[in-house]
Amino acid sequence: MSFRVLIASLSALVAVLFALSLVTGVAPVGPGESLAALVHDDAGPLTMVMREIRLPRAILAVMVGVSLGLSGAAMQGFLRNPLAEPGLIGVSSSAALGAVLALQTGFAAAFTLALPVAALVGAVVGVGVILFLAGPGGGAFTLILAGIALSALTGALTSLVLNLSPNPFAANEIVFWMMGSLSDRSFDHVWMALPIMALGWLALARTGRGLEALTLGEDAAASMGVDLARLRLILLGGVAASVGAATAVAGAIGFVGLVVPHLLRPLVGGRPSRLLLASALGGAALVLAADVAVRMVLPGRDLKLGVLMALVGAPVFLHLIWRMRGQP
Amino acid sequence: MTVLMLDRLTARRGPCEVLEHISLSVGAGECVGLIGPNGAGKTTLMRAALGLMPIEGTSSLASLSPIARAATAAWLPQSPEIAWPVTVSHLVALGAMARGRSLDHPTVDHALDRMGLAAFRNRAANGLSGGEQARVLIARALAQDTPLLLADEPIAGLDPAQQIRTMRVFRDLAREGRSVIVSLHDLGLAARHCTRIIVVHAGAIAADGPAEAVLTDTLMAKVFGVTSYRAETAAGPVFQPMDTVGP
Repeated sequence: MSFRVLIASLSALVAVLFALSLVTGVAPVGPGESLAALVHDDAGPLTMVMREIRLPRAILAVMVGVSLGLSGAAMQGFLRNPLAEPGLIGVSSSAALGAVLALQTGFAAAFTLALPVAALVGAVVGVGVILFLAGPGGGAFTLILAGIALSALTGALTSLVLNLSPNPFAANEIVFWMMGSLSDRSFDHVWMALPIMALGWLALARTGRGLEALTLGEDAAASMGVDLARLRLILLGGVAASVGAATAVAGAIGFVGLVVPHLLRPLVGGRPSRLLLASALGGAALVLAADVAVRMVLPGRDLKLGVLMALVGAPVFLHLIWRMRGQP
Repeated sequence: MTVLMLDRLTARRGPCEVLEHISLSVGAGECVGLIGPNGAGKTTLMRAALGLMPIEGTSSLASLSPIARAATAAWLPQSPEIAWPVTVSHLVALGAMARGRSLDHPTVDHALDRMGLAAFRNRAANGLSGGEQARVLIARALAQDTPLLLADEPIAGLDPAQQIRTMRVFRDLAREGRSVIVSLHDLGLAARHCTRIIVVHAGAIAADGPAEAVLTDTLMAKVFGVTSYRAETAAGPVFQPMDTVGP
């Protein structure tokens, strides 16, 4: 399949799933009626539902999916490892810790966006630690180790907060938040996350040439005119901004950044630069599909997006490993 | 014309000095064979000359910007790495990309032909045999189309015919006016194909000159700890290490 056909197909898939997400919900209205209410303001409740609830939810699904898919492709290309994923550098677990602290201390209730803001602060602190540990002089190996250490530390601190939580309601809220979800989000979330994510996407879009050269290893890439220290900085900044913002608005959603690049790599001929755009679209499609599924599979039960993603993602991944057996 | 100039180049690995005060220059049209025992500092010399590690002293390449360096020298590291299942032609085209050229630049086809890889162009590069991958990586470096090529043991995994063909490619590059610095352990091939031999021993240059002047019995015993057999034949000089000397 040519690259253009692949990108066109993925774009069409995203468009279809976006429309499907808009017409999926608890309100008993037909798809045509829903979409008509979105376009023409009928001053009734349906227009409000469409414009204030479903539209931001679908837009957030695209934003979160693009962030996770793009970051996963960039991380795998940079570390030259198909098992790398955006969470590897500890940004999402740092963001989660920030959110958990906000929920525990009650700061989350201070204003509408208090929770995502706290998560973003957590992500920024996490990136600071990573850059300090694996900054300009560090190689890929240092980066992986620093990420594992940071994830372990923030995970332990999150557990500590849960462990010592005197308030079972707060603990419950924390556990549910950590499962990841796009329900009850508004345009406030979109406007808060979009500029940060967009900066991250722009940064990651600039890593293509460096990632291509890295196919041959760090030494060869450096000799081919790639400034590795600069590439690492741009890539870490891009992943941190997009994944930090995604975790802040949607909680922890795994597997997208791992599975999507893995599935699409054979379709782009293994080329890391082409995988960036393909994975961004693939990530958007997967998150949209999963967010439609959580509303269709168990309507009214608030099945969490992160739970469904892991339930679907893990078997897909096992299937991939099954097919890869015996290959070099 | 000088393509590489090193002046009192010193490089360390941790606290250990691996190279000490190396000064040399390489001119256009030279095919330099870099020889020496394991751990002598051949790889470090090439990486330090390229500025891929911290150095003291000066190297004409290390002071260039990454882009300008990529236009001057191509580097073929010793440990081959092909991370993804890209096609052979795309992998070789990365050499053209390093120069900011399009992936279908004529230098790509020329490099594929030169390394006898035209039939492999649509195969996945990381699915080839070790020797075939080594040739693909050499072609990648050739496609960078630079005045200077530094190659670290490029023929180590090749069969005898491919070793000879590859050394001929390097010699032909030198005849075209480019320069090649190639490290290798096959002293016979080095003697036959290189215009100049540099012997690295314990982080310093032990000898530098044409093969017949450099590869003396004394040097072979002192640096490599071997005796050797040599003869002049119609096909060129024959040079064969025979036995170890000393303990």
